[in-house]
Amino acid sequence: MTAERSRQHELVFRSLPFYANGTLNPQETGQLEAHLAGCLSCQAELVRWRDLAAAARSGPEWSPSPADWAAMESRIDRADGRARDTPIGFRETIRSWFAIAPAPMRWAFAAQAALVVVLAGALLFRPGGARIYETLSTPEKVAPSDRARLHVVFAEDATEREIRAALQDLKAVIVYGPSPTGVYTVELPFAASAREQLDQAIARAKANVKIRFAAPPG
Amino acid sequence: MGVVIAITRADTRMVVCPPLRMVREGILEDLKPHAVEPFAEPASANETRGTPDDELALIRATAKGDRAAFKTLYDRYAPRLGRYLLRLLKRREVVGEVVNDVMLVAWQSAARYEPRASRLSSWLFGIAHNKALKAMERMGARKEDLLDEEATEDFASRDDGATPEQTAIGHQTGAALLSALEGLSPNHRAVIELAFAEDCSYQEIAEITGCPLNTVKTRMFHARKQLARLLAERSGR
Ligand SMILES: [Zn+2]
Repeated sequence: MTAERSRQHELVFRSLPFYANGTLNPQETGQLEAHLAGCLSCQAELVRWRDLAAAARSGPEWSPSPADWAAMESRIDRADGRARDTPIGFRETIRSWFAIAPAPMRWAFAAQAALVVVLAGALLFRPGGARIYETLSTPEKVAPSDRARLHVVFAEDATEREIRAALQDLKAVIVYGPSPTGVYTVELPFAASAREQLDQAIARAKANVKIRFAAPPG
Repeated sequence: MGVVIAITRADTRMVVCPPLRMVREGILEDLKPHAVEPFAEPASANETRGTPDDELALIRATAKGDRAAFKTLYDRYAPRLGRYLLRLLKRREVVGEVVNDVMLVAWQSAARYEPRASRLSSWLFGIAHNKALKAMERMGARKEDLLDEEATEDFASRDDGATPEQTAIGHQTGAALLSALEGLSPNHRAVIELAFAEDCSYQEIAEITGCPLNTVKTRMFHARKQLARLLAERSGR
């Protein structure tokens, strides 16, 4: 074997895996094929690389579950919240409640949380509602208050009169909004600590076909 | 049966690829390997290094906070990144979280993606590669498995009188090969996976792993050698 041929063999031999996967440029391919035609050693090696390529392609696969995407959304909410210096988002709140609950309560809470997520999901993923989700971590740009508040999104086709009627029904006033994504923060005529009244107001809001989404802030 | 390949231990200079060393020292962010890679061929000014137009549009929209665009990228890349991570980490239960680590970097740093510097796929796989190394450290991988230091052995004989080490490799079935692949070290598995599951060029593998071009080819060769040993062990030789 001449020195030149030996050098060429070494070059080609090292490049065979990338010839096998078709990623060499035309010039490299041309040089390689010129040597390959006359070199049994390289031909044999190429066969083995092709076997190996086929084996690598038949390895285990992975695909994300809906829970993986939900976790992803939760993390980008949190990341965005941090970037904008805002309170933690809705899902994160649930997660942190879950984390601090005493162990015996966790399963009961998990069941409740699952229900909340299902209900919220049903609201969030109504047609045209996909973008609401990110508003859950929208900063609250209003003065704090001890009154109960809700984040509300009205139906896209809601008229001004219908919005007014919905607010009167809840005895609510708008304290902020609409946000760039259409969320209103409304204040209710009772204390934030009055959970039962708040739950009733949420139920009432959800029953209103002109309200697409209603939940406590944060 | 089997073809004999002569292997010479000619040069024992140690090569440490930049990302791993710098990751270990905490001076390299997830996004840097491409910026510090001095070996890859420079891109011409207007080249986008093969990132498809629709993906460029998606990452641009992601940079502006468009979640629908990000979801499309996620759906497209999460299975590929997850497959790569699964084959390196070998623990299915941690893959989802590491994929999300990678995609979170993409979400937060989309504006810093530079199409003239790397393909979008290389950018994402580069982040995944670094996350995989960190995950392996967290999972308590042995140091010698993670260290990139390996002799830059030349496989062709040289005139310096070094002793050839001979490795016989016969034709193997797919199942035996796949099983042997599982036994490769992470660095060797990485180059094999990137070359054959992802069809990366050696330039792209250099970008993703942060290694010089020559190291990529050398590492491919070592991966083959390691596979040959594993196959020989398993067939009882
Ligand atoms: Zn040859």
